[in-house]
Formats: sequence, C-alpha cells, structure tokens
Amino acid sequence: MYESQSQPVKENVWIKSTCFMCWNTCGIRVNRVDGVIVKIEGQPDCPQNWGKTCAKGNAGFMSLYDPNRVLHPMRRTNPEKGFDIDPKWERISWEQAIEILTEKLKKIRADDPRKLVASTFDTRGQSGVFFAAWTAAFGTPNHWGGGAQYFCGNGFHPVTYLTHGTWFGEPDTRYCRYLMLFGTQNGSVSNHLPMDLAAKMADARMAGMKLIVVDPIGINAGSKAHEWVPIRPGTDAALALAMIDVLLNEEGLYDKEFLRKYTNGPYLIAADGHYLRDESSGKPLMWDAEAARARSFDDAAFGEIALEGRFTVNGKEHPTAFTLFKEHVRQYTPEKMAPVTTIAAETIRRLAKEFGAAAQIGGTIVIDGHELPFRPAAASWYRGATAHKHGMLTGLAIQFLNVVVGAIDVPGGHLGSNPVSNTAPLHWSPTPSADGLIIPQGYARRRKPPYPATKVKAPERFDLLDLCPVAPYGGPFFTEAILHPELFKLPYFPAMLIVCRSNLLMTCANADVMAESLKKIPFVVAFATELNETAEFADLLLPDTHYLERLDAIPNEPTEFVAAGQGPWYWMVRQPVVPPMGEARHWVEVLFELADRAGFRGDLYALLNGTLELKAPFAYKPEDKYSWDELADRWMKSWFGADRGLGWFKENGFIITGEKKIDEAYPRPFITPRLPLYLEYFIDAGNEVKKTADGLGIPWDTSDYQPLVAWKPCAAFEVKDDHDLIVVNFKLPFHSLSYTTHNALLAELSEKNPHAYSVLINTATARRKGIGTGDRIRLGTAEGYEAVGEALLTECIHPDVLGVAGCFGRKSEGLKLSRGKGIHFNGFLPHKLDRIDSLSAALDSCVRVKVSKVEPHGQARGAESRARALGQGRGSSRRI
Amino acid sequence: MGQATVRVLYFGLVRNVVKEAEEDISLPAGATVRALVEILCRKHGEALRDALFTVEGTLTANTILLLDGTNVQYARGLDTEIGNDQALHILLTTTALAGG
Repeated sequence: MYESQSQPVKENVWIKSTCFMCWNTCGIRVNRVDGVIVKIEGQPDCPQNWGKTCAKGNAGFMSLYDPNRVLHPMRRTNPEKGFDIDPKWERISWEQAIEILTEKLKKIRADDPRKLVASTFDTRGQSGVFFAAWTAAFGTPNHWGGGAQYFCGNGFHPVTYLTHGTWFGEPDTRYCRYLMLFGTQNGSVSNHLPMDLAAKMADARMAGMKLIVVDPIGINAGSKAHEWVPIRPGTDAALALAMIDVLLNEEGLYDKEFLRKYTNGPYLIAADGHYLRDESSGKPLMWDAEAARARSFDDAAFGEIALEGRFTVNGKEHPTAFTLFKEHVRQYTPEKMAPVTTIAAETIRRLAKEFGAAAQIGGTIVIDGHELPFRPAAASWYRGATAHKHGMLTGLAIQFLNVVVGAIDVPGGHLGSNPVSNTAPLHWSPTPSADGLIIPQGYARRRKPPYPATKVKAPERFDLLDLCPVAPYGGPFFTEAILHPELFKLPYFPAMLIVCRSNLLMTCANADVMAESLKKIPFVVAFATELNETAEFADLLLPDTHYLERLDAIPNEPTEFVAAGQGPWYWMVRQPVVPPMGEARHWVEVLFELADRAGFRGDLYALLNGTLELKAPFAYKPEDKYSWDELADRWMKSWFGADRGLGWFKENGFIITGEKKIDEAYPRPFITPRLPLYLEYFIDAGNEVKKTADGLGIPWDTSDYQPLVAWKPCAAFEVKDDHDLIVVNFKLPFHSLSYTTHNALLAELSEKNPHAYSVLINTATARRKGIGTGDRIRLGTAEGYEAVGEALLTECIHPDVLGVAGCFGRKSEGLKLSRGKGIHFNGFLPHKLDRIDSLSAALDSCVRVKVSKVEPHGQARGAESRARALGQGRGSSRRI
Repeated sequence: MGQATVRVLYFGLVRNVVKEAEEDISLPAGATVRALVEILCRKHGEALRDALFTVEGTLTANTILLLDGTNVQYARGLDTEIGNDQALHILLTTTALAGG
C-alpha cells in the first residue's frame, strides 16, 4: 500500500512581477513553493489589470518548465539551413559564444556597423530601451521589427500620433455610450490593456453603452456585441467615409466648433492643394468671417474663424480644407459603398445617424470642477481594418469619424494614450509646428511620429524608411531589401542578424519567403527560450531567460501601457521569481557584456543617460561598469527618489506617482496644436519620395500621398476566377503571436476550442459548396500556396470569407505540442512590393482562395485520427 | 563680442555621419544651440542636417541634444543660449523599437 511521504513546505511565497506572455505588462503575483512556481494570479491592486489575468498569464509557468527549452549555448555545424534540416547543434560554452560574437561584432563595427541587423519584439521597458541604445551605440539603424511591423499598428500608430500626439489610443469607455469597433476586439482580451479594457467595457455595457463590432468575423467580440456588422475585408474605410458623408452632407451633424478650433479644417487651400500662406510670415491662412479678410492661423486678432466656404484672397478664390473634405466625401454615399462593403445602404445610414446622435455634439460634462465637451461616441480600430494596402488611409478615415463629431481627447470619445504628462517624474505635452499642427514631445515621441515628415533620401537602411517619411516602421521592406538588394541600391549588405523574441519565419509573411531571406544573411545569432523556427536557422543559438527569470525595470510604457483618460500614473517592475534554468542568460545583459568587450560601453551609458534623462548622482558613469540590477536601480532612483530603487520596487511591484489631472486625462481643450483633417504635407512628402525613387529606378507607389483620405481596393477586392473567397486571420484570446502555441496549457485549450485549428466558413456558403463541419478542405491561392484544414461551419463569419486563427501550423521539431497543428495563415500571403502599403508598411493580409473538399465527411475523422497519431493536427500547409 | 568654446560630443548613430567622437567649436558668446548646430551642419555636410532635422526644421524624434547633461527641450530648445565651456552632447539614438 502506498504511503504518502509529503515533506513539510519550507518556502511558500508570493512574488510580484509583470507578465510577458504578451506585451500588455499585466501585474502578476507568482506563487513559489520550495523553489517551484505553482500558480500565477493578478496583482489585486495593480492599476494595469486590477488582479485579473487571462489564460495566457495563468499559463506562463508552463513555458518556463517546457522540457524542450533551450538551456545551453549551441553552435550549428550543418551549414545547410531549411525546414526539417537538422542543424547538428554542437554544445559550446558561454565563453566560447561570447568570444565568437565579440570578434565578429568588432569586425563589423570597424567595417560598417550598419551590417548588423537586429530583430526583436522585446521592445518595452529596460530590455527594449537598453537594446535600442545598444544598437545606436553600435552604430546600426537596422531594426527588423518582425511580425508586428507587418500587420499590427501600421494604420493605427501614425494616426494617433497625428491626431492625439501619442503612440496609442483607446475609447473612453468610462463615459462612452456608443462604441464602434473596426477590426479590433477591444474588451475581449485582445489589443492593449486587455484586462483593464475588459473590465471597463463590462462596466460600460452595464451602464448602457451600445457596442457595434464591424468585422468579417463575428466570434468573440462580434458575438458579444449589440450588433455585429459583417464587412468585406479591406473596405472599412469605405464604411467610415460613407458614414462621414451622411453626417456632413445629409444630416449636417458635425462639431463645427471643434473643427474650427482644433483641426486644420479652416485653413485656406491654394489651387495646387497646398495651404495658402501669408506672403511675409509663410504661415497658413484662415478666413476671418468677422473682418472679411484672411489672417494667419495664429493671429491673436482673429474674429470668427470660417470653417466652410470659398473666399477670395488677392483676386483668387480659395476653399477651406474642410470644404474640400466635405465635398470629397460626397462620392462615398451609402448607396455607392453598399456593394463595396456588402453592408446595406440603410444600415450604413442608420449607423451614421446613431453615431452622430450618440456623440451629443455641443454637450458638456463637469468633471472635477471643469466643464468639458462631452462626446460619448467613439470609433476604434486596429489590425483587422488596417493590415492592408492603403492601411494608413483606412486608419485616418476611421479616426475622422471621431474628428468630425469632436470626440477626440474629450470625455466619452477616442483618447490618446497620455499625450500629456504634468506629473513627475517626466513631463511632456505636444507642441505646435510652424503650421500649427501637433508635434508629440518627450516620452510620447520616442517612436517615429509621421509628422513632420523625415527627409527622403536614397536608402541607407534595410527597412527603407529613408523612402517612408510618414511610416512608423518598415519591417516588410526588410525582406524585400534582403531578397532584392540590387533593386534598392543599398550600399552594403547585412553580415549578421541578432534575433530574440521575434519569430521571423512564422509571424511575418510567407515562411518560405522569410526562409530565403534569412539564408542570405551570413551569420544568424538567435537568443531563444524555445527552439522555434527562426532559432533553427541560427548559426549560434543562445539560451535566453524566461520572463519569470528576468529583471526588467519599468516595462509599462506610459504612452501605450498606462490606460488613457482618468486614473493613476503608475510604473511597474518585472523581477525574477526563479533563477535562470540551465545556462540561460538575459539576452540584453549579454549584449552589454559584448559592448564592454568591444569597447563601446561608455557610449552606451551616455545614450541611456540622455534617453532616460538620468540625473546625478544616479546617471551612469562611463568609467564604471554596472550590473543589470544596478542599471535598473540607478534608473529607478533617478526617477522616483533615492528611497525608491530596485529593492523598493521588488517589494511593492509598482509605484503610483499620482492621479492624472484633468488636462492629462482629457487634454484636447487645454492644448492648442491642431490635428490634420487635410494631410497637406503628404503632397510634398510624396513628391520627394517619387523624385528620389524615380531617380534611383526603384518602383515605388506614391499614389497614397494625397491630402484627402480615400478608400481604395486592395488586391483581394475583386474575385479572380474561381478564387471566390477571401481568407483572413483572426486572434484568439488565449494566444499571442507564435510564442504561446506550444505552451502545454494553452495548446490544450487550442485542442478544446473549436476555432483554433479549424477553418471557419459561413454556413450558407459551405452548404452551397457541399462542405460540412469536419470536412477536410483545401484552400489554394492563385500564387500556388495550398493549405488543408478542417471546416467549421458558422453563422459568425461573412459569407465571402474564410477564417484562420492565430499563428499555427508550426514547423519546428522543438515544438512538440503544436507542430503541424492548424494552418499557418501567413503562408497565404504573397510577399511583394505592390502588396505593401507605402505609407505605413502594412502587408496586405487578405488574399483570395478557392476552396474544395478533400474527402467525404465520413473518411475525414479516420484520416484525422491517423493524422493526430502521427503528431499532425487538424491542418497542414505546403507550397505546391 | 567675446568668444565661447563649446565641446561637442557625438553619440549613437550620428557617429555614422560625423566620424569623430568630439570636437571643440568656437562661437560668439551668447550664441544659441541653433547657431552651433548650423555651424556643425555646414562643417559636416547636409548628411548631418538630414539626420538631425525633419523637413520642417524640427528635431527628429530620435535626436536628443543635451547641454551640460540637460535636454535643451527643458530650456529654450534650439534657442537655448550656450555659455563658455559648456558641452553639447548630440545623441542620435535609434528610434525606439516599435511595432504592435
């Protein structure tokens, strides 16, 4: 008979840290019993998530203890690279690895530091900030941002920069009572601040907020909405512009005061499309209706600003920008956009009227003694709407719904993520350009704002941002430049790639295309916790720490991971809960050691002092050498005080530095810079790009550099032959990129969830094609890519659309739980220059396919059972 | 009018444009940061100007100018006056990695 021999527990502690299963930095508390993590929960009082975690957060420790973890440095001995090719790893020591890297980096730095390419999505907090400084100190501008630069915020971040003055934004669910979501599942454990937004969304729904979800896929967010509006992929701008047409030209429902005061709508426009400018000052002119004359936009003597009309200046008639905008949207009537979007004209008209009425134009609300404009209607959007060619124009069109009703940075409307901070430790607020438009400042401008435009020149960096003056980043262009360097006339070619937390082969585009580009880089160094597809292409594979083993100071950036609107300012810490397993080392710590050996540690510290605004006595001294912990400690003390260093943060988990003041929560009424409804600067930016590209013989589309937003069809809009359906990707709340698919608990969820590994098809469409649930179906593109999956019939998908979830169809030998299961959606996507949005670098993520049944329903189960026994899931994909 | 000497130190990606790590520049006393940067751009070429400024003449997002360790944005920006024996650090950082 078995007798239990339980041992007394010697240690049972809860440690505060920050999750890193996705990028939302939820505050967690981790239970460690006798050195083993047994449970993860949310920190109850952390403002990031108020004690909640999602399935991913709860499951984090399973990837920590994954038996397939990379635990030792390894060197490739098989020079051949490819899927299913054994690298023939040879285990080496860290000292050997460091020596190899030091020698190579010194050589590259002496030759041309730009030949080093770095790819990571470990871009927040201490790791991200310090890594960015490391690459700058090394001398390379070449960041290959990975999948998130292909599909994610391309048409969101530059738009929020232009209109809010910051990197991110969200609807003010505290006061919003009518919310339209375009291609995003805000509030359904997707997008940013998922726990906080889920709670706020629930509260808003209880308070009566109406939720409209515009999406080709209706599961998750759509299924919980008051109304799900199935839309043809790639046509969200058409819907938004049709709604704006109704508001402006049918209902006369728009916030004239807001447009007059806070946009460039009143600016007079010359015949060439540029601003009409004062001859002596060069400033844009507006019309003073009181004085019946033109004045500079910032003239203190201005009487009544004319928003609409045509006015004669020096004998010539000039319209206001808003007049042109209002006339321009007339072409987007509901009747014309109905066949484009597949949404009935009466529905478009109704949505517009509801939105306009809900905005309560002219209404006010008193908060903390301040009377503010009250606009309880908002439209928000993200990847689903803008991961297309013309993604930037799409994002602008949707945001302009908020602009025309005045719902920008005021209670109830769409809010920027903290464009203003008047609270220690940092201060920032947007300033006006010479033309009076928003320029983000301080912490808010740490990314690449689209305005003012950067200088256009012949490409010197592989993301081709030199040809993208308004793009936030240029990830997809990296692949193009590596595959076709002769086309872009780059004066050098990469010699080394360092990659960590960026599974280029799976989260970018077609894996075969990505593989070819990786093979062209002579030396690939991958830091990894798991042996993923990209790691298998490495020449040097180094064990990275898991997030439960590492320290990252201040992982929650205030312009993305601190909630917008009312609430506290707070700063968090991620601390190790267990020591690193095996020989794992935090990859940025390794880079810092390399900086020391290669002789640029002092420069690195100088850059960090400037970036972080570190003050004496805590600024980093070039003659000293600090440990990772010391670097964090000095940073925290410089910002929060000598008694608020790393030790304090480890004990407390986060610091609250104050409650946002009203001008931080709702800044619009308190700041003067205007937002552009008319993108006048696009004209010159586009001309510069065209001139440069033409001069170099680079084929480059500049047609989207236009001052008035538009809907334009993407490649999948038209039916081609029998490729009559559009396949799109959608997110599941329990997965994030490729990182989570092989987590044991989450993989089990995938098996139980009907949507994970299946191909969603509309019930009526499927029946017309003789397809039933469980049938094996083949999806094929015109470019020759095929995938086979199991059909799942549902009403919750547009009739013309197929849905493939997440980032499945894994290929790596090291990922036993997810290899071969589901379909790798990205494989459908051709990687071509003409499928990349030249304004935002978004890769068009929908493609036409034809679908056919592979075998009768009865045989599918048997075949599937055999497939499962072989370790293959409900889908597979290949290029034919 | 008197003269001032300011030490200019370069860090980060600007070193791909200006090959030296530091240099001393003489300029009239009371000159501004703007005037100093203009001298540097004329000396090191338009590549420096393109790296530091947008098309509208504002600093790019990844340009940081520190005068004796303090970001000039907290003073008078490019119109901040420079005193004798001050040091201007020109930091051209990598634009913070982004995405998502």
